[in-house]
Amino acid sequence: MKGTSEKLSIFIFLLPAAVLYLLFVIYPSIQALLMSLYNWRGLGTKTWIGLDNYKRMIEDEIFMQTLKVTFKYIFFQVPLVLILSISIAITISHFLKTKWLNIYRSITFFPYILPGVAIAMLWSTIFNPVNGMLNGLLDVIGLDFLMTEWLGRTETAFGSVVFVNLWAMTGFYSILILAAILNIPQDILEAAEIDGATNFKKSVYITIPLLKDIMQVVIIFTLINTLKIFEMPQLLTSGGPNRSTQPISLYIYEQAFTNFNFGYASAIGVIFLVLTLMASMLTLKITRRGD
Amino acid sequence: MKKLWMTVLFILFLIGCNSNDNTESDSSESNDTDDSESTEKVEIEVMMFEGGFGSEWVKESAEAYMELHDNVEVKVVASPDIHTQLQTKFLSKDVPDLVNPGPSFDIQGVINEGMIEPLDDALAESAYESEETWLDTFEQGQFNLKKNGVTYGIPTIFSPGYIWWYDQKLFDDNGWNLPQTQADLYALKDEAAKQNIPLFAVPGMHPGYYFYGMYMPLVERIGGNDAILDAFNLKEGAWESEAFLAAAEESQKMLNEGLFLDGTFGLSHTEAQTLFFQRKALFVMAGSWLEGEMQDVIPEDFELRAWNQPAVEGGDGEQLAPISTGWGGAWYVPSDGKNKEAAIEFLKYLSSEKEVEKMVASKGLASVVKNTDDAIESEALKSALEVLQNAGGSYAPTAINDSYPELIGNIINVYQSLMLGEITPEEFVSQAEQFATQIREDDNVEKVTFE
Repeated sequence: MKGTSEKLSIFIFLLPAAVLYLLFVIYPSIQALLMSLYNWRGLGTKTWIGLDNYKRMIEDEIFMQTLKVTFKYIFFQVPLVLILSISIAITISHFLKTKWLNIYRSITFFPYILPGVAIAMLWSTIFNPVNGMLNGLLDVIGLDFLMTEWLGRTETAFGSVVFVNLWAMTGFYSILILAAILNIPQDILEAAEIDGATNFKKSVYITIPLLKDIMQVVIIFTLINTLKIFEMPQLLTSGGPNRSTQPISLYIYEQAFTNFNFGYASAIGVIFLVLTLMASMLTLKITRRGD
Repeated sequence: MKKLWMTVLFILFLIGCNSNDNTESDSSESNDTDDSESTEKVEIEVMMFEGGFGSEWVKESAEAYMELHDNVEVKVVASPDIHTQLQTKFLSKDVPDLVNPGPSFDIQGVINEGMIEPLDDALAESAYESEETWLDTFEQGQFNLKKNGVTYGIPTIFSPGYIWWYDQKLFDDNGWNLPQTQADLYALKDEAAKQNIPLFAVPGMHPGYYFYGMYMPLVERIGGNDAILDAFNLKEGAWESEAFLAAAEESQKMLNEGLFLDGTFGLSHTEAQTLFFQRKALFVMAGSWLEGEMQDVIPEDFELRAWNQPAVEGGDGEQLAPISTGWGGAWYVPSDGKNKEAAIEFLKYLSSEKEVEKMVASKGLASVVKNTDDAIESEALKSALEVLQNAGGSYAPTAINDSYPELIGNIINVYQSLMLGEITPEEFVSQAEQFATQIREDDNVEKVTFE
C-alpha cells in the first residue's frame, strides 16, 4: 500500500516537469523531424520531398564547412576552458587564507554575470581596428606589425571569437573548480607539505587528481555549450568573414530565417540534435567508466 | 396609487432619455459618415516593421483618420521583429488587415501562396478625395511591386538603394571635384591622400553594403543592366560573364590601389559610418536611411549629399541610378483579413498627397507619391532624388535578394573573401556561377523572371 502511494507521489511530482518536457522538447523535436521531410518556406504549402533535405546536406559544402567550424570550436574551447579554469582556480586557492580570496573570486566570476550582448559590445570596441584599444596598445608598445582587423580577417576572426568565449566562460568554471578544491581535506595537503612538497607538486599530485569528478562536469558542460554556440559568433562576426566563424547553429538560423528554407533547416536541426545526444552520451559513458 | 404614477413617470423619463440618446447618436453618425460609409464599427489592425524610417508617421495618420471616421479604429503594432509575429499570424490564419512586413519576412512566399490580395482593381479606383485613379498618384518608375503582371504591394517611401554619400563641404574646402569616371576616382584618391583621407569607409563585416553599393554598380557600368538581368534570371554563365569578372577585377584593383580606409574590413556599418562623419573617409555606401540613422553623430557643418557611382571607361552601361525594389518596405493587404475594404481605404488615405507630404516634411523621408518632392526639407534626401532624376534611368540591384536570398547570401560571402584578397576574381565569379547553377537546377526553388 505504501509502495503504491509512493509511486503515486512520484508520478504526481514528476507530472508537471514531464508535461513541460513533452510539450517543449519532445513535441518540437518530432515536429522538426517531420518538417525535415518537406520543402517548406515557413508559411503555406508543404511539399513532401522525403529524404531530399538529408541528401542535400551531404552535398552542401557550406553545411560541411559549418560542421568543421563547430568541431574546431570544440577542439579549441573545451581543452582551453578546462586548462584555464583549473589554472585560475588553483592560483586563487593559494590565497585561501588571505583577504584577497574573495576579491580574486569576484573578479574571476564577473564576466559570467555580464549579458552576452554587453560582452560582444565591449570586445567589438576593443577589437575595433581603427580606434580600438588592442591595436592602440600594440602600436604603443612597438608591435604595430601585429595590428590587424581582428574580427574582419579570416586568419584572426576565429581566434578572436574563441578568446571572447573563453573570457566569458572561464570564470564560472573556475569558481566551480575552486569550490571543489576548497572541499579537498586540508590534512592531505598538510601531510604533503610536511613531506616537503612544493605548491606545484601539491597541485599536480594531489589537487588535480582529486578534481576528476568536477573536471568531468566541466567537460560535459563546455562540450554541450560549445556545440550549441550561437551568441558570440552572431554578435561579433555574424559568422564571417566568409563563414569562417559560422557554427551549425548559425547556419540553421540562416537557412530558416534568412533563406526561408524551414524544411532544410529542420533537417540540419535533426542532425544537430543527434550530434548533441551523441556528445552527451559519450561524455556520460566516459564518466560512468571512471566510476 | 402615487407609487404607480411615480413608476410610470420614471419609465417615461427613461424612454425619453433613451430616445434623446438615439437622436444624438444618429445625428452624429450621419455627420461622421460621408457618402456611403457604414456606421458599423470597423477595426483595422495594422502591423508594420519599425526600422530606420520609424512608425510615428503611420501612427499619426491613423490618429487623423480615426478623427475623420468615428466608426473606424486603427490599431498600429510596430516592431523591429514584426516578421516573427507576422509568421505566427499567417500560420494561424489570424492575419492583420494591413501589413508592412520589413526585410526579414518572406513576403514573396506568402504572395506565391495566394495569401496577399491583388490590388490592381483598387488601384484603378479613385484615390482618396481625388478624381485621379489611385495608381496615377504614384511615380510610375518606382511603382513596380508586381508579380506576373499583378500588383500586390503599395510602396510609399522612396529608397534609392545603396548609393554613395559624401560631404559637400569637405569637397568644397579642398577644391576637389566629384568623380565622373573610375579614372577620376583614382585621381581623387591621390588628391585626398595629401590630406591623409582615404576614399571609402565600408562596413567590412557586412559585405552586402559594398556588394550592392560598389560591385553591382560596377557590373552595370561595365556590362549594362542586361548583364545584371541575365544573372538575376539565372542564365547559364551569366555570373561568370565578362562584366562580372571585370567588375571583380576592378573591385580588387580599388583595394590594391589603397582606396579603402585601413582597418575598414573589420568594421560594422555604424562604425564605418561614424568614421565617415568624422571625415576620415570621403565616401560611404548606404541607403536613404543614413541621415536618420546617424543623426546623433553628424557634425553641424557636415553637408551630406548623394552621388551616383562613376562610369567605367569603355563600359556598355548607362550609369543608371540604383533604386530599392522595397518589397519588404511596402504595404500589403492579406487575403484573409477581416476588413480588406476598410484597410484599402485607410491605405489610400495613408498614401494620399496630403498625408505623405506631412510624412515627408516631418520625418525627412522621400516618397513615391507624386508632387510630394517639394515637402522634402533634407538637402541630403533632395540630392538622392537628384541622383535618380539626373541618371538615364534606374535599376534595382537588390531585387534578387527578395527572390533568391540564399543565392545572393552565398555570393556576398564569397565577395567578402575577394575583398580580403583571399581569392582571385576568377575564383570569385566561378564560385558565384556555381551557386547560381545550384539554384537553377533546384526544382524546389520557385523561379522568377526579372525584366
